[in-house]
Amino acid sequence: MSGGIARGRLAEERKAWRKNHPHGFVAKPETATDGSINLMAWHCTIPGKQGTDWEGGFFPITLHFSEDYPSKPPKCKFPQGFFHPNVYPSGTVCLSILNEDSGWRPAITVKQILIGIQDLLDQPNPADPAQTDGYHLFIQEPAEYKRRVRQQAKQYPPLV
Amino acid sequence: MKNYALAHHPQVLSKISSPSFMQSTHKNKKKTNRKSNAKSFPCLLEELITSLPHVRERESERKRISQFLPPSSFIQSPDAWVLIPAMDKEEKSVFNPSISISFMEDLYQTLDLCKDDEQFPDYFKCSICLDLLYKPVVLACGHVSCFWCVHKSMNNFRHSRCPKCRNEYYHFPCICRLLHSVFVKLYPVAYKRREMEVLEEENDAHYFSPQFEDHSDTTVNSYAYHASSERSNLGGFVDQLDCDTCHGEATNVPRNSNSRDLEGDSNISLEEKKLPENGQVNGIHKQLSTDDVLCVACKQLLLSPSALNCGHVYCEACVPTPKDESIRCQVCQSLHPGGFPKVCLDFDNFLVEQFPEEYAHQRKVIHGSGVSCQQKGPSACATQVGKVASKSSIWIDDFTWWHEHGPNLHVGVGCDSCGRYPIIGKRYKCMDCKEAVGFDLCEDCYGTSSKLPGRFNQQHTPEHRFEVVQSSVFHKIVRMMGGQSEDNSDASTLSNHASEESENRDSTA
Repeated sequence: MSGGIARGRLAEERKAWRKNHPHGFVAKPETATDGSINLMAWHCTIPGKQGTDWEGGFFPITLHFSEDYPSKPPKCKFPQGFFHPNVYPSGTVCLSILNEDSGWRPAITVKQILIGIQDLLDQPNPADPAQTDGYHLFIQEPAEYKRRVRQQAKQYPPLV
Repeated sequence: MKNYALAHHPQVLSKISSPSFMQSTHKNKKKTNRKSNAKSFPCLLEELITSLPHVRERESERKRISQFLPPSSFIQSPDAWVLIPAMDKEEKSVFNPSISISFMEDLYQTLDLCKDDEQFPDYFKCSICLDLLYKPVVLACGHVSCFWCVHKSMNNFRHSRCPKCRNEYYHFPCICRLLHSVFVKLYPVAYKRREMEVLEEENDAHYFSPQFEDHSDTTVNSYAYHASSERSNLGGFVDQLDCDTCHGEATNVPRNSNSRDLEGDSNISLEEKKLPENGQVNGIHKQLSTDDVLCVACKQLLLSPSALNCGHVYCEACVPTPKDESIRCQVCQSLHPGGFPKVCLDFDNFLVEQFPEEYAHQRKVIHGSGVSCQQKGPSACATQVGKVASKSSIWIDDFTWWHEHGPNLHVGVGCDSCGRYPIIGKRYKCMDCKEAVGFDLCEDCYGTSSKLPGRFNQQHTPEHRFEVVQSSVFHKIVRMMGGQSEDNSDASTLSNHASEESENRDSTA
């Protein structure tokens, strides 16, 4: 069959999310100014984990789904220049479960993706650096790294 | 087939919530008083939805289905539209886009409330489409997905991976008829809905899954009863709502409290609805007996069920142990490629839940007779994620693999007998099958002259003639790199489906 199942799956994802989702997280399909809904791009918010330097920050992230979803993972993007060793300068997240060749499985849900990224925030993977700034500070100047992370958390206060 | 699909249709969404549409309702409002407006809005919505071309096409189909379906959906019972007017109590709010979004959210929730499907456990939810498994296919690792979900997620070039555990596999298994009939019995409403949805897609795409005629009369009867009980309940529900809306309009109750009233009402009616439904569910559960879940070999209740590539289900201990290299199904004599099949744990859990006593008894009997399931080693699938190879080694692997198999690779073409996908080696293409999907065999299956019907409901017969088709993947790549648009005969032998998909893949790679 030529038609993909991306939209059907995303509609189910949305239903599942509305039924139940982790506290503090937001995930919403994009809404155009005329009120039409684009299921292929979701605007989400990931809260920094409590008890970590990321606490207090509510980080915006956009999930871009392709027509091949869920065979292919969505592209997950923080704002450009986001400070984290595993986030590319463009904002794209580098994470094994989001890589089709290593860890992605169609069974992974939006909820699991967002929780996976929340975990990644406080547990960067130094084996797979994606930006020089975050990586070098993380390896060489832990104190400065900590300061930058806390500063960034303040930069993204909760949306009332 | 149902309103659910409609409401999610982007065209409908955009039209309903677009300013122009809101404008038109506003004009109506000016001309008419509040009371008649309450009717014009739903009428407009209905008009809008029915004016979509594909809806009109489906109208006849829907009428045919509606005799089987409870009427609590928007399209089938126009009365239910009275839910809508409560949303636009404050005229100003209609033009505020944020309110129109919340209106859509409300609509979603209402639609969810109106869904009449039976509840099914999470382990019977397909991990790809997140809906009830439809025409279930059991992979070699024991994980289950829908027929089309598995097919669509398979890799056109190389080995595919299980959507749950990333286990590598090459063969598209046949539909597990046993699980299929279990679902037909357990969840007649939800399964029927899935059937209609999938059939609709299949008609659009002109690709078909195997069609079964096993919807027993008992199922339909019980379903009709279910539907009628539902209908009487819903009648009351709608009446209640009607009063509520009139009341709200007369006294001009603010929107919020009114919608809360509505919620309360719908909750009550939902409970009412559930009463007969629960009774029905119990009734259905009684219908499913151990006779429906027997091992094809020992004819006893399945103990640690394992499915072969042909879709037949055995107890783990009953899977014919190979004397030579390969396992062969006792029922259909088809070969099971790959190693020993893993236990389908989701199905196993279900059996333990459904038939606790019988299952325990069966386990005792088997263990008592000395045939231990453990003798074949731990075969239950450990959900482990495939090892992460470093990037460089993936490239080297790719290169050697392409060098070896590239010239014989038939991109996006599978064997209709053993399910091998894609075919590597000689490809035998049927010259007489007219279906869009085509009919192909790999060299091994061509040699054994298998009599199995096609995987996609083709009307293939043994009298059909075959031709050998050369792999066109290299020609295609060369052509694409050269940017030539001329069509050569090699490429045209590929089915549309295959060439389309391979092009998509090439462009995204």
